[in-house]
Amino acid sequence: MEESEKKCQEELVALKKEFEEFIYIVSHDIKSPMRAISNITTWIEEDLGSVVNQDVLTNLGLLKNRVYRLENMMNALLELSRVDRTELEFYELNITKMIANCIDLFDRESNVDFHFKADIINENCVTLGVKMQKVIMSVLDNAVRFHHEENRKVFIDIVENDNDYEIKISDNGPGIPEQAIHKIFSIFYTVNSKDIVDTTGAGLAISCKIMKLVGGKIEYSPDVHSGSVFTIHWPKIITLKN
Amino acid sequence: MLNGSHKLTPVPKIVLIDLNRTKNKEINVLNAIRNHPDLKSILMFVITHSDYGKNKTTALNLNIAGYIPLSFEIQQLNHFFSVLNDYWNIIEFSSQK
Amino acid sequence: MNQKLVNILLIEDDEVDVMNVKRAFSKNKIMNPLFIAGNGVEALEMLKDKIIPLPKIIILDINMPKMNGIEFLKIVRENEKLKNISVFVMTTSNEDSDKIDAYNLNVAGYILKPLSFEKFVTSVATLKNFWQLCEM
Repeated sequence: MEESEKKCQEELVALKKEFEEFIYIVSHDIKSPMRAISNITTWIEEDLGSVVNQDVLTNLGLLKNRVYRLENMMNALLELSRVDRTELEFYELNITKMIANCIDLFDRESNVDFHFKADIINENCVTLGVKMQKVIMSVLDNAVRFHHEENRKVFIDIVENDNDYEIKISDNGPGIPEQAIHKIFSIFYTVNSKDIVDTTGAGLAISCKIMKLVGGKIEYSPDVHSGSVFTIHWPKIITLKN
Repeated sequence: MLNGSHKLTPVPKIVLIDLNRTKNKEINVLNAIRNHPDLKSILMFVITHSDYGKNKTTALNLNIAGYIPLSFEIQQLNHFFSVLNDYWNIIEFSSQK
Repeated sequence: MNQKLVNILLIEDDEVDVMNVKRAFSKNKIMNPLFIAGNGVEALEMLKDKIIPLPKIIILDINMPKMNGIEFLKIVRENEKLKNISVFVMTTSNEDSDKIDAYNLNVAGYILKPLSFEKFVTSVATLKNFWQLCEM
């Protein structure tokens, strides 16, 4: 029994490694021909000059846009494959300050009202700072981006529990339609067509993987009025598997 | 500053050196940096006011990233820093501390 | 400031990337004589056997067949006649290990090839300004 369990474990480890190598190679080696397509399209545009059929220009524009999407998807895949391999440094972080900084990054460009409330005793924590910031930024980015109202509001509340920090990010946006809820954490899934909202759709998938890595979780629930609520449970103590 | 008690951390990735003072002293600094195991891969930019010639050859032998003649007039200085700044913004550095 | 234009050697195996450099150079009116080698081995031959005049600037890709950029650079830095050529890495590799290796071999800069041609033209413009500043 033990023997077969051990074998299973070894196979699992090997499979995982192979999968990550695959993602890495795919996203890495595909970049060259992608760049070539994008560049050559630009050259064709330039060489055609000013007297050219509008349709041709439109199509060339579409071509470049699709290559740009390809690049974003490749970068997202690369990032996904790297989640449990890079930036795994533990350092002391002031959580309130970090979240305030994240909010600052959005404040300038968007017309969003941020409401930040922190109910924490231990503001400082030794943790995987880079990963935490990534998750917060992904969720905040979604909250800011997928918004149809004029007066957009995003609420961030942190509560400290015994074993984790509970970070709730909610907004007064359109929320997520019921049939899409179970798909939102899949990579590249976007609720809207990518032609309408230009986004790769990888933020939540990457965040989900990070939460698995640290032994926490991220959950979605619809807001009482409309809008979305994302709750992140970030554990105080993180043990990484080798 | 790069070593010993006044050590800068993290170690800088770029060093800009004015080679005009006592010529030999500055060349020694360049040599010292290049020979130091922790510092030898720092990107070095050297500015000089005097006619270069021999100094330039020595500097190039130490693989200085840029050897730049400069006189301290305001317009030149603005241009100088603007170009250098643009350049430093397009190049990559490792994330190693 | 009238200076003779220095020779530039581009070591790059991808033909589209070579076209990229040529077009970006021409857009930026960089008139320096440009020589091309498809990989490290070819480049060494060109340099050692003096098939091309000695360049002052080398633009170096990293991922190439037969001999990659870092291996080439190691050999160049050990060669008396070639070791003080200014080397600018231009690559798709965003790997820390490559950046560290390159700077340990004292490259003058490490540039990532951007996806869009427009961005590349801008980077080359900056490079040109830098070269002119150094009177290369």
